Amino acid sequence: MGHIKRFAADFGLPRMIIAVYLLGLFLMAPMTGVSFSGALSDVFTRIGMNGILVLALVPMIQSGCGLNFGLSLGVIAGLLGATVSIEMGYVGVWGFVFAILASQAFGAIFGFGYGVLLNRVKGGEMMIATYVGFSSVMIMSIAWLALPFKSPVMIWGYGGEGLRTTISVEGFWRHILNDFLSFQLAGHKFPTGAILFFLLVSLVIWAFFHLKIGTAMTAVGSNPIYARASGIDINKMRIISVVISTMLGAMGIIVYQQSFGFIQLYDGPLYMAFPAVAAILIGGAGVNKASLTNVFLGVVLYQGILTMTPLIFNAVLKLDMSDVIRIIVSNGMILYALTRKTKVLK
Amino acid sequence: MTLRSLIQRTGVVLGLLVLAACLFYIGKGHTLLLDTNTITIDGKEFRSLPSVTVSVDGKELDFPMSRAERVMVDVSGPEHTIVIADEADAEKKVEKNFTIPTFMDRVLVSIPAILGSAPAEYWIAPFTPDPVDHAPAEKMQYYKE
Amino acid sequence: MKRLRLFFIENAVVILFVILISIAIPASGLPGKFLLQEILTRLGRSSFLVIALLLPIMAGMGLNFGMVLGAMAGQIGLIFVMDWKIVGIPGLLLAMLISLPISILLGWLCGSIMNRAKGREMVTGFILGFFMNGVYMMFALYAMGSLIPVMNPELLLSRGYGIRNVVDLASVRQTLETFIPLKVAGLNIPVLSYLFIAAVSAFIVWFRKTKFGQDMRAVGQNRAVAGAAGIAVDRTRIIAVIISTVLAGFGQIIFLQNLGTINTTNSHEQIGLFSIATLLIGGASVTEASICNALIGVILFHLLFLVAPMAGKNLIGSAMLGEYFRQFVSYGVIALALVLYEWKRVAQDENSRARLRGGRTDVP
Repeated sequence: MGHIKRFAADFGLPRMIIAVYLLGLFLMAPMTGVSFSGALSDVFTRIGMNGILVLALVPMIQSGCGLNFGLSLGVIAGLLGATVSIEMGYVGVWGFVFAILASQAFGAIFGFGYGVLLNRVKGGEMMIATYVGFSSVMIMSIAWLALPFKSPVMIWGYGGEGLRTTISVEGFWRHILNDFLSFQLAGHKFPTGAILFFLLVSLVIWAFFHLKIGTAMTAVGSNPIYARASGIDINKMRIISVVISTMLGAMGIIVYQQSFGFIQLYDGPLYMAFPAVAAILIGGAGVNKASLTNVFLGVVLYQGILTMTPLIFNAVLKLDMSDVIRIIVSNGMILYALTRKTKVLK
Repeated sequence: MTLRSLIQRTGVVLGLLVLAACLFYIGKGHTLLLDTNTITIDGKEFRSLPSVTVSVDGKELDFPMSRAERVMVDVSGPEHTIVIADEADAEKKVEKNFTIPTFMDRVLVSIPAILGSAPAEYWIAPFTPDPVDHAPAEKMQYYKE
Repeated sequence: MKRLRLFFIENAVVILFVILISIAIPASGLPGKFLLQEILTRLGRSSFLVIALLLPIMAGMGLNFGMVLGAMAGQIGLIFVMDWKIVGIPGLLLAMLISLPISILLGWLCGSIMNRAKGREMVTGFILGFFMNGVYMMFALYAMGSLIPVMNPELLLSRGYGIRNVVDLASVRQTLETFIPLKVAGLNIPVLSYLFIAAVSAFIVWFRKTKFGQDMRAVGQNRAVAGAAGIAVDRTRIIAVIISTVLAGFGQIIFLQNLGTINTTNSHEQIGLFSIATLLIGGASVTEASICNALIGVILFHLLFLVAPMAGKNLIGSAMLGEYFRQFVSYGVIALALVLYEWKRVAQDENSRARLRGGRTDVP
């Protein structure tokens, strides 16, 4: 009995509620005429789409930099990588690979600067991350207008200047991961490639955190005094965590785009950090502790709710409250995490 | 919480509620429909003049009203003044005050009744729009392909 | 010389802004009289909202991103007043009265949650604003008309429940501006709006001098010391947030009656961002803000707002660029203020730690 109680307390009431809610939605599916396999396929597609973005939050949480509300910086790096790849005209697998490589380069540069900044403002990272993220989206918006891109697929028609708001990746690398090794599951497509890629990257991160450098990073986040005493350079670890976070964010948005089919510039990245943050918190992460389990659980639960709620609500109540529910659930989870009593770390 | 502070707070809340009620009362907007249609009261017919100038609360209408016309005027509050004068002879005028019940949204004001000095209760009446009869075209059934 | 240097550092943001604007105004080509009239109007419209932010800063809670909750309460008040067809000044006052209990409730909620997240009040308020937006939408788009009776069906969406996207405030539009008309040198001066602002400023000044105000300042400077001195720290913080939320509600009503329309889903969204950016541009910081900062901020921020698109078009050939630049400036100035705040705080912490160690800064 004690074990169950402890598990329940650890798992947290909100998470229990969400898990039960999701289960309920799935159970209701066949009764309401919603195609169960279709819904399942949708959920898996979204997991593949968003997984790496959620994964990107882990390094910074572990190193004590808090929730990376500035993930938009990594997203911008990814957007640059994708647009450069299209500008060069690379298609197919090579186009995708090039986009990712380019995005990693940008991500590393941006992440470094971002990390240096965060080191100077220890304690207030989250708020600053948010506004640094917002500001950079706005600077990039100016850049999208001014940068010398030439590809006719991307610039405004009729000889306009600057890139379009939405750029289709049809014909380039749309669904390149989703379709890879995909199979039909009761009439609906299962995006094997995307899921495999997500698992692969997760494996790499898992391995990283079991290396010496990974454990050092974790120590910096959970016990900085011990870390310093062991001779770990806290600032260096934090910068590395921010760089990895940003690079993963860049990778994540490219995976997202190949599934979504479009590159969204200008205002697009503005609020992208929030769903990822909500997801990892739903998965059980805290402001300074996150594990891969949190990532998997979080992505499944969050994307599950996002997919199932509109389907079921529409079928049963003829009411589309999905948007409002999404806002309340995501932000509610983040609030819950922010107001939990954690050990005071300095 | 002491009894004294409880009484103080209740007093403040009550005061605010009273204030809210007052604001509601003095600020309630009404749409007046000035009507020069002939009206029959107790068998007696009241007609308007061929052309009248009307002003409500000091503001005159843009155009004079002929018989069988309706003009919309927005006002706020319960008490109002209306001045109806013969366009031909500005000296012949009738000035009256009337009160609109707070919850009456759209009000029909009968000009002839006021001109003819009918009893005050016939001056204003709640306005109910006639039920709209859908034209036959809108009642057509659409065949599902 | 050193004093001059100090002056420049302390007021870096304001000076930067004045320079930016002095370039942008001529570049935009907009006539001076137009700008002057616009500024006079916007001062009347927006200052109240910015002043609402002052008390939480005084109480050490930073920038109250949760002011959006007050804005929502104000909007709800206005929606009801439009539904019941209460016009003119009584309508506005009634809207304020209706928003009062809602603001108090939401402010209490916000304050309590912030108390549970000490040290992270700003992020929490920020997220709480988004969360409450969801609750507000549930109220305005689903409950109104279905669970809550609406007298005037014209306000509803075609599906029968939920408030329309755009609510026209024709019956209360511009009432504050025109109630006491005053024209000076061809410029319209919204006297009543200014009176409201004067009133709230007087309130703040008076409040600072009361015992409660002093308590609040003490809490703002050092929670531990204030607590040791017997001040109910948590309660004081909550009350600061409640007052801020109530003022934000009134401010939003003043703002909307000037605009003349409510955009049910959007009108309140950017209000936190803009008001905070405005205050910071006026020279305030996360820990210190005055009414002067608020007013100067409104003038500078709105000047930039007005001239940026045209200046961008004339200088670089794209009005969109001017628009993005303006947004970048809004976000950037908040980022800058937050960075400066944390910088100072980290430096102070390290300083005090160094002192404990006997002055050495190379040892942890």
